[in-house]
Amino acid sequence: MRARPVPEACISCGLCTVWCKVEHSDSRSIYKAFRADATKTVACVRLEQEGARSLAIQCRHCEDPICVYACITGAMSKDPTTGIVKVDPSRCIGCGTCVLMCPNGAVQLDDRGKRVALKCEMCRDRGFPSCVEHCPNDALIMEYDEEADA
Amino acid sequence: MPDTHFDHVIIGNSTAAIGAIEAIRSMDANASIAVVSAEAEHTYSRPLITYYLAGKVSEEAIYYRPHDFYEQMNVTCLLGVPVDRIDTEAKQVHLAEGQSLSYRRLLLAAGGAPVKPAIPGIDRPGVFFMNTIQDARRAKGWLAHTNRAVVIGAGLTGMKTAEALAEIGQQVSVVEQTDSILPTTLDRTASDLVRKWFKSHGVDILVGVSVTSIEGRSDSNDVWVANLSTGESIVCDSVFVTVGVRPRIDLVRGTQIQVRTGILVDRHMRTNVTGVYAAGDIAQAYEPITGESKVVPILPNAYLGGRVAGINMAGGNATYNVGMSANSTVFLGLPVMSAGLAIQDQNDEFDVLTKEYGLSYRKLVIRNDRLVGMIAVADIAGTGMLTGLMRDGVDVRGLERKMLDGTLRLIDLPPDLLEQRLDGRSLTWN
Repeated sequence: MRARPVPEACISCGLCTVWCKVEHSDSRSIYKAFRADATKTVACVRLEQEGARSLAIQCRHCEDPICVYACITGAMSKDPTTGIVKVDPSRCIGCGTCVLMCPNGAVQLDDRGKRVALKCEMCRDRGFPSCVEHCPNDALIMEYDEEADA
Repeated sequence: MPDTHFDHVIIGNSTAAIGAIEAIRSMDANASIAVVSAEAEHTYSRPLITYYLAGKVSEEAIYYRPHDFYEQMNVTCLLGVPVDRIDTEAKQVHLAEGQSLSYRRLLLAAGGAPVKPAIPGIDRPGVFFMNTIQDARRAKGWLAHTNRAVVIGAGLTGMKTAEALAEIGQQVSVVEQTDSILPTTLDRTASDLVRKWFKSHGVDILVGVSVTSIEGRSDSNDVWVANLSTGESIVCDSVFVTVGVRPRIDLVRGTQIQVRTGILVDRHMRTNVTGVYAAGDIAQAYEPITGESKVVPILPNAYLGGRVAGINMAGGNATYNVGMSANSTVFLGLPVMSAGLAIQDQNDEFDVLTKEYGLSYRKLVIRNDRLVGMIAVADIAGTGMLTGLMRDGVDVRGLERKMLDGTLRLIDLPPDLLEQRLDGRSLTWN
């Protein structure tokens, strides 16, 4: 399972990053996330632009996730049912091995509290990725793998 | 236990073993698997033992896989049971307790043992190696009553140990024989940055110096002083010896299994003896940047090599092509990363690009238009893009500035590579 960017449809409006930040904020409210919340929020989606072309990228939830294989504590795992690659912050020591290994630059170290790895987890608490839901032009669409994500 | 047959016998219970178990089970739900390990521990993360020493990770939280892992994976465990010898003719592993296991496939994943330098006094109480959780437990008990520690060897384990000791309020001196700290992972510039960082946190570091002997007081056998090659000495009450690890190749003594520095394996992690595989710190395997066979004792490679071995043991076909060196850690809050030929200087063959400001440092090593080495200190954003380019052998002409600035994006990659990344196919096994 992953969100698929569609460059032909992307108008680089940046709403994906806006809603991703809302989802990763304390309040999870678009009214509070950017100004009222005590903790600065972060995005796990990255809007990339080159000339007129643009696309939004987050974790690919790889079939063979090197971040999971390389994780030195066992904090990273790929959910066998959903295929979502996730971090257990209670077991993460923030060593950055996943950051160094992810070829998509999709993992960051979150320094807002105890330093831990942070990445897109497909809004698994929410049920559906907010960036996909709020994309006004279908430039992010859901993609399901045949086996693991069924 | 009676003599028993297993489809897969794995010697070792650390990362490479877990990688193999998870790979075998992903392909075969029914094959019988036995794990034999000299350590009587549930599988744990070895790099976490310095975190345990510092009190940042509890004994309960050091496990590498959940506590029901072996049950979930249906693995028979013989933990705390050393191997006596291996008989590859009869396909049997003889255990120290007199039993034996026969196997169809055997994985040697017993890791490395700490190097013990010939320093007089090294066997004294108060001298510790940081290789196992048991080492860390013993050290932790000792440190409750002491406050001045000497660390011999400034490699990754040594510096993580020094960090842990400093964090629990020990007065720490690191003694390194070569002329820089982290000599195999960092170049001189990065090494000096990290050294200054440690010094600013009160850790004393001596380079180009060795410990010649460890002495106790005349009335006790404890540690009292570490004597140095300079003629000086450091008063201390504990010594940590972290001068490297060596593959436990004694395991295959008396067999036909080929050994150089480690147990030699091909790109399928097979030894020269049919049905016998090796992975992790014990193995000498293909290293893609140099094209040579090397021991690269880092945790990610142990897992990846174990996974490749496991796939092949279960009848699949996987190739180990990702075994370059790659290290990431944080020293007293400062992120430090390096990969590939990181310490390489500029010459006819290699182009070296660097960028330095304040504590932040980034270095790229390029050969034949391919990225073959990198270092990043402090600013580590996007470093994974760099190791990705290294693994995939991408022509990086035109991307140099972005790689150095940390502004490289997927959209900058060639279209076919971008497509592969978007598909979630970032790792290939053939």
